[in-house]
Amino acid sequence: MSILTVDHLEKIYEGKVAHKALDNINFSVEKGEFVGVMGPSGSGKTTLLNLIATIDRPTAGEILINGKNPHVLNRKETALFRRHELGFVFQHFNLLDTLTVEENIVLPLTLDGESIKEMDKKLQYVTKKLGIDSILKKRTYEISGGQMQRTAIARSIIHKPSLILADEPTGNLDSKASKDVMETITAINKEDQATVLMVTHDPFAASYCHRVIFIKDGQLYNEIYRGENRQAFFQKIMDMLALLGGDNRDLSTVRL
Amino acid sequence: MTLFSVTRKNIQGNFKNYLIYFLSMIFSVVIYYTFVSLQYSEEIQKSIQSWETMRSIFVQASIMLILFVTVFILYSNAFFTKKRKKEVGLYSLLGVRKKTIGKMLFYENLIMGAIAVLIGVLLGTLLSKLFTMMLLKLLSSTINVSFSISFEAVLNTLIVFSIIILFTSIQANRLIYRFKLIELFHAEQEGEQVAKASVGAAAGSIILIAFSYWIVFHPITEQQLVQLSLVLFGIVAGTYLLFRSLIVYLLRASQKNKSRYYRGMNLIGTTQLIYRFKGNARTLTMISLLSSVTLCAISVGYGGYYNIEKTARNWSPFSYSYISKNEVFDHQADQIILEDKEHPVQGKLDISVIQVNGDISDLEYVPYGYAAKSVPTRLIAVSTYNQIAKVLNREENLRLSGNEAAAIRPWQDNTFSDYVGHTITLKLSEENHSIKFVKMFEERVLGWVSPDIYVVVSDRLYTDIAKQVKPFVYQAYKVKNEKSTIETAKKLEKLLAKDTELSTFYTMYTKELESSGIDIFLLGFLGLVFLAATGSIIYFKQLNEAYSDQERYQILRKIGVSKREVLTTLSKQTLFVFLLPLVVGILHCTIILKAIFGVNLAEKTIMIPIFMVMAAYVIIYLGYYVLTVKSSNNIVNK
Repeated sequence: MSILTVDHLEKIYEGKVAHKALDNINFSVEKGEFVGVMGPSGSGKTTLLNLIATIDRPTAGEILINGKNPHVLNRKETALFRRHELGFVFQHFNLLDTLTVEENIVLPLTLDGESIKEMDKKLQYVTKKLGIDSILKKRTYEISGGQMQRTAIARSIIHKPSLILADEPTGNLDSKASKDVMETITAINKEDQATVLMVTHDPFAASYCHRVIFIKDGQLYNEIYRGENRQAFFQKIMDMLALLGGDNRDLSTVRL
Repeated sequence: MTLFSVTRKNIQGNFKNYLIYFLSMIFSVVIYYTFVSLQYSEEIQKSIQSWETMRSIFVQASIMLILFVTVFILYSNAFFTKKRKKEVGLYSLLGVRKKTIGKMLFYENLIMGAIAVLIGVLLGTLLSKLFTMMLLKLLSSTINVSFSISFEAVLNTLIVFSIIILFTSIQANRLIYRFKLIELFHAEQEGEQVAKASVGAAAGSIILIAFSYWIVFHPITEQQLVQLSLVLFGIVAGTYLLFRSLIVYLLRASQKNKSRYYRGMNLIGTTQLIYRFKGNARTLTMISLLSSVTLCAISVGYGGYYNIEKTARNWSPFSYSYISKNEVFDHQADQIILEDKEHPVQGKLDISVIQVNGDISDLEYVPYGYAAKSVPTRLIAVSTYNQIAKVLNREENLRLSGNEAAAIRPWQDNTFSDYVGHTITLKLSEENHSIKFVKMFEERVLGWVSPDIYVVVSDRLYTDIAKQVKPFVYQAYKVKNEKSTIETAKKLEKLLAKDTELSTFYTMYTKELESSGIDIFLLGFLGLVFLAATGSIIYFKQLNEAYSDQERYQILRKIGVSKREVLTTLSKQTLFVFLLPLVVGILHCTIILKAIFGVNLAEKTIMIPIFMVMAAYVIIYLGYYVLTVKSSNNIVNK
């Protein structure tokens, strides 16, 4: 059963010179899949993510998340949809510095008025899994980048969304923390059957995916599957990126 | 690129910050200039009869304004500088010399100040006409107001603001020298630590405030000044601790209740407030104290204005009254009063009065400058009193017999004590005579003359005493429209000699009107300025916070919080910040009114004006609230 279906998606930015950011994008993500989206700068990765995240509206085509099209909902319903069906992990973590780690994680649940008991149960489960149960009472500026991202991941999965959207989750982290975070995402993907769509520049991060979709100039360019060996997959991704061209700056240095 | 063009580009790029600072400078100039030009206005001088005494009041008020304006400009300057520290740091980092930066900041501030003064004076000229008309209206004057620019007022304003602006310019110049580069870059994070709540300080605030309130009702010392300073200290320190510790403590305690705290946006609202409170404690204290001072001032002023007629009627219950000296004068006076066709006579009385010495030591009240053993006491027969009551439309049919008497509360008796049951002894040439009060009146019957002890006695006693002491007779008139009897009152004043105790309602009324009119105008003007200032300070503060909260709300929006929910929590937080100082301010004000002015709050004539003032204040304040929520919402919910 596919969680996300993207069907003939098109996005044109109006302006003095209209710009076609996405052109006829089709793909789908099955339940329990971990999919990466890569491409050079300006290829339309972020536009795609914004459309799926219901932050932006497509010009043509449709997106179905769990069989529902969020773009036909009104504003209030859209907010609710986002809250229930989607979980977000951002490059800049987007944690509230006024709250403790615990409060940040349970935030989506408080918005839905869940019972304290239920909240506690879910919090225990999630934080144990992500190995952050010892820092619950700390504030966000007291913990490391990797811990912050894991807190953000905990927040994104605590309400069991249909789809987790990750936007450059390792973009702000060093290699050790990147590895931790990617392993965390892999773990929740494997053990909890969470469906993840991740946009990234980082071939290392992408090598954790089941498959990677490449976009160039707003169009689907290619798609490669992982197979058994992560090392080989990483090499394939590197080759594909070289083929894609684009700026070298876009590629982070090799680290494995 | 010259220094000047950098400065100009600076202003263009940072327009919003500059605008806020610029507007508050203009506001200060407008307020000050308007007020000073009133002080120099010829129209006002003409319509106030006792201008010389009023001038000193005006000067005092303008000194208060200078103080206020200085504080306000310094506050907005500090606010403005804080926002720009990073920019200044950046210049320095890029290699601009400190001297150059200092010069740039100096000129920038100076030029802005100069323009603000210019605009302020122009706007002030328009406003001063408006305020002159308002003041003259309050004084019931009919003089027409012309447009004019008072040279003296301009000069006065220029001097005051040159000093203030020069001072802030020098401060701006010193900015780059005062701080290390690293401090300039971290300016925005100042005061953002999470507020700690100490139980001791929280309890201290309650104790301090409760203690000072207690003193108000139970004086602990005879010395007024000591008493007052104790109360003020308790209130100021208590309020500061209240905002700094008690509120944070209570908010923290509310976090313990998880089922409430973890519901909907409560989590966000509560933490935001706690997070912000420490940096705001001083501002909120200032605002609640300013509010209470403003409310007190306007309440007192308006209370006086509201009760002018009542006060004047108590001073001079009849339209005209004087002691009859001989028939020629009486006839002439009668002619003058009858000739005045616009004010037909509604009642005329010959009031016979006897003055003897009395021993009033049984009473709580002793007139100032007299010994209680021997006070001139005036007697009125009960039948005369009933006639007076009828003419003055007081429903009273008093019957007294034997040694029974009725007291009329003297003008200056503020003891609120009841005379009924007490006795006084009249000292007659043959023997002393004791009379006992069975009734007490609050409303007076004749024009005021010190010591103002009037006693109503039975007709028989009156005739008895009249045999020993010769009575004298008041001629008393009640006319229609007594508020406008200017000509008749003046003619009578000319005709009658001083020892006739002439008292006219008109004179008393205009005197009261003038002093209360000026009072309410000055207090109202200052009150309005304070109100505008408190409102603006909270407004700027909240806006500033909205800017720094922008990112947080964006995160919430991304997680799936709807715009409506953001607006709701924003309104709640803002309401908290607005309402708290207002409630504290009103509470303090009520106590201060009681403490300083001895206002009996239960009295209806005082309750109504105070209530009206508070209602008006709350309404304007709410206007600021709505504006603040709207602007902040525009910032965070773009």
